[in-house]
Amino acid sequence: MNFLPMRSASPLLSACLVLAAATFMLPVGARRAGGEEPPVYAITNAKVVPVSAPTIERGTVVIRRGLIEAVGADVAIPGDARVIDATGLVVYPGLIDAFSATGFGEDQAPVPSRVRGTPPPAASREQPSQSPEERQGVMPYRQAADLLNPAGKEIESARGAGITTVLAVPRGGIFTGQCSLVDLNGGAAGSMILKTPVAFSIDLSSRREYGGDYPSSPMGVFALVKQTLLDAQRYSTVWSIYNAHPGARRPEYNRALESLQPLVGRRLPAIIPADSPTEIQRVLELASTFRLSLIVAGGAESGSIAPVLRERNVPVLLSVKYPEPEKNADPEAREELSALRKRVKAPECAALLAKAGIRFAFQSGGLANPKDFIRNVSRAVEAGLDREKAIRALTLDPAEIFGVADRVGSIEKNKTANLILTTGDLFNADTHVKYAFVDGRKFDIVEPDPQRERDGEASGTPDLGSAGDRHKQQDAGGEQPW
Amino acid sequence: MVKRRYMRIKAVAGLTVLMAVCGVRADAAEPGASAVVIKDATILTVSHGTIARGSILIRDGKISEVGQAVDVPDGALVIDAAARFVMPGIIDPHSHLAQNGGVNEGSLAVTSMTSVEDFIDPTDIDIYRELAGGVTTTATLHGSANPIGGTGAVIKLRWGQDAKGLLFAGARPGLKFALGENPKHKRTQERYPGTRMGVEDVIRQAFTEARIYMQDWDEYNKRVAAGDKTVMPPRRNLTLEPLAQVLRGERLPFVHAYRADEMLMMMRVADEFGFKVNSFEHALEAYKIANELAAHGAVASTFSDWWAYKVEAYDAIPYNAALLTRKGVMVSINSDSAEEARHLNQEAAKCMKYGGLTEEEALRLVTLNPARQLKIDDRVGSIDPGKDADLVIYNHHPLSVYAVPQKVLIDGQVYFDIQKDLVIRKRMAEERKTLEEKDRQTRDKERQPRKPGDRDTVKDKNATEVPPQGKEGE
Repeated sequence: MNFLPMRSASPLLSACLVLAAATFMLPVGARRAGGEEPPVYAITNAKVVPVSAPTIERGTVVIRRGLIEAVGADVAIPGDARVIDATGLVVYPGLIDAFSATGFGEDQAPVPSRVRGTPPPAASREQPSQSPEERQGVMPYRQAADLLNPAGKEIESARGAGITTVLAVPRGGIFTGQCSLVDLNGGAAGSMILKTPVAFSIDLSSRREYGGDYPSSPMGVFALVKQTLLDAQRYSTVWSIYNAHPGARRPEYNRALESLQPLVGRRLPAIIPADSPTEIQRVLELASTFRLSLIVAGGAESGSIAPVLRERNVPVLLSVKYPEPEKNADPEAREELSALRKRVKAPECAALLAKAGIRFAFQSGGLANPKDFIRNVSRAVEAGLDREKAIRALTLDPAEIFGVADRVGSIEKNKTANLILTTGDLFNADTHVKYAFVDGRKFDIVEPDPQRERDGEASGTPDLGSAGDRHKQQDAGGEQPW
Repeated sequence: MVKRRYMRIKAVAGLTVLMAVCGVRADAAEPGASAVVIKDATILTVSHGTIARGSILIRDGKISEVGQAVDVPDGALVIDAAARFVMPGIIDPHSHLAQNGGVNEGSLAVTSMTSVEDFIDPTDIDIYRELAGGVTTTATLHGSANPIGGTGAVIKLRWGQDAKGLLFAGARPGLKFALGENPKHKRTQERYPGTRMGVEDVIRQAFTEARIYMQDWDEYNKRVAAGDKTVMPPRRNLTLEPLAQVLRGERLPFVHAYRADEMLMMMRVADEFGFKVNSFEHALEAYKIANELAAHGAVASTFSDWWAYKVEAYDAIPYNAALLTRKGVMVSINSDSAEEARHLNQEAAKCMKYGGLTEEEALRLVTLNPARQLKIDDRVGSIDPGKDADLVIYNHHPLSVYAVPQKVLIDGQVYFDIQKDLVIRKRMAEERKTLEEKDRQTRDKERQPRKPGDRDTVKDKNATEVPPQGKEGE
């Protein structure tokens, strides 16, 4: 929503830019912004699980220009396609990690918080380099898309685990920013963005040390969130009054409140982590007070209040980072029954959500080893979740929740060519990912080396050109960096 | 030993749902279903003396009749309480029970924007333990780190219900203030105030801002009413709103205080800004200013015999409650502790030993008086027809050290039953066994090395290798 006169200039400006860009781009033709046009591929003799349609026992998938050109049992193989004989392999849509820190590299954008336990000298309390909102952790204007680091090593390991798309969630602070859907395609940052912004991220667990700056308690964080939302609502009101009445006093522009308008206007949802029934009810209450569209993330015990979530039609981004027994616990001490129950019953949550008809998608929850993503989803399958539903919750369901089901999440004609080829059923313990295709680019996933796998590493190399592909690479060499 | 025991008690934590579903509710009155009768008990009404061998009829969660003989409707649940003692559920007017929001927002000097009600934790095991000690209602408050803390919540200990289900519907909301050592205490950083004078200044400053805030809104509403379409609404301020509510008499100020001088200061500030201090919390030196407290109408909510644990607690005497009562001050005993809360009946008994209160006066310190303090005495605090059926059935007189609650009812439903408790412990032990077994199986499975023969789809790894370079072409 544009409340500001200065903003009204921007469509004109961008129109000019588009025109200019188009003029320059014309001779380049079909070349993609990400650089090299991936070759045409035909994956043949594969078992294909399109998710949106019944499984094809022996089928072909043709990929061209980053899209799926054809899929089926009787598909003609184009003459210009590289044929991949996938006998014995299974083709799934690329997996989506529905709430992830992947894509930012090692260090994310600076987070305004102090090192634990170090009181700042009085002079630095104001931290003039940071705006007042940042000091309190209110940074809704940050967008994951602008913070990406395509060289991040974690991208490769995620891809090695079959993850082709992530919802990149900015971290740090309370209103941590806006989330973007990112294809792990090995290209430049701009080419990776599937959709942005997708949602606002609010982290209620973020707080300072006791005795430090406000807020230093969960109560304080929650109060700050409520006050900020009230301010954002008022911002909308005062600008409407101003715009409608020439006699009105001009309100002040505020970057944070301006950027929150899609949230308070219900045009974008808020993703808020909440695990226990009490936490979930708290964020449901918050959402209804401020009429926010809500997505719950984490949801470790969401299964136990499934009816409430169903009634409110709130989707869950379910973490598969299951609780572990406390490390270095007193060997004499018995684990509390409540903790034991949470731990043992954690994999049952997905089945409960499915049974209650709640829309949910799996997320890795920041697992150290991305390969545990599938492994832990298979524990949910063992605990009663329907296999097909489990695959859906890794592919088409997140695509639907994020409003991109027409682009990704299933193997269909004209959808983005995000695919994985596995050596067997996704949920078998010894299945591994052999190839990943992201935006039509093929990545060979190196056979898992047990040692490296344990260390949480994975590898994949973009395969842009072998043998008959050299002249193309030369072309690429002469390309201007757009 | 102590630790072992602690762990065992902790294990009770898991019974949230069990308690609600399995044992306890079984013999409770069905919602809407008519009646419960507690028969042949010694009834300590607290409001109008003791009934030697009397009965209580409960209908729809409310006390319907109290007397030597009451109607026993068809289908009523009858609890035989011969040789038992029934008193109103204990009301703890100051605790930090069932919170998971940090208790203190210990950063700023004024944190009235924080709300305990947003952070009620219905799984806090202390709810069950206090319930087992006869507590049925508690005011759970923000801590005392700041001159002005957050807003509190009054809850009933309906163990097994969710956060909303615990709230005491219709209870007047409160706001915590703190005087003395705690708010002026230097923490990990320098923070104003550092003295009692500074505490007063912070409070006066905050109320001054709240006045301006109210004026801004009044002015706005006036202009809107006059048809002005260009007027901008003032910013809603979550910090000042609770203070404005105190000024309008809509919110009760609970003031943590120890010393007589700081209580006098707070009453002067209240007079200046035109509100009443609802209660001084702890108020160990209140006996020094009994007349002033009585004149102001402030409740003194104190401890029976806690003192000397910090510099401002040296002038405390165990006669505080009795002396104040005799001077016409409303006195309650609060726990401020999940342990103390489990024997508030004994804390009340101590005030008979020190100062010679009567039995009824002593019992009122933990029932009717805190109900009056929290302005919920129309609902709870004594055994009178029309009040909520929040009752404790003891095996001995509650002012005896041998008294142990046998059953505790809230809204006519049995939320604690000492016999059922034993059953639940057994059931929980069985559940633990099952869970531990399942856990062991899962972990064994994960530890198992993968055998090459396990591959079900791919028998021979080499056969499925697809050398793309051989087959690719354009």
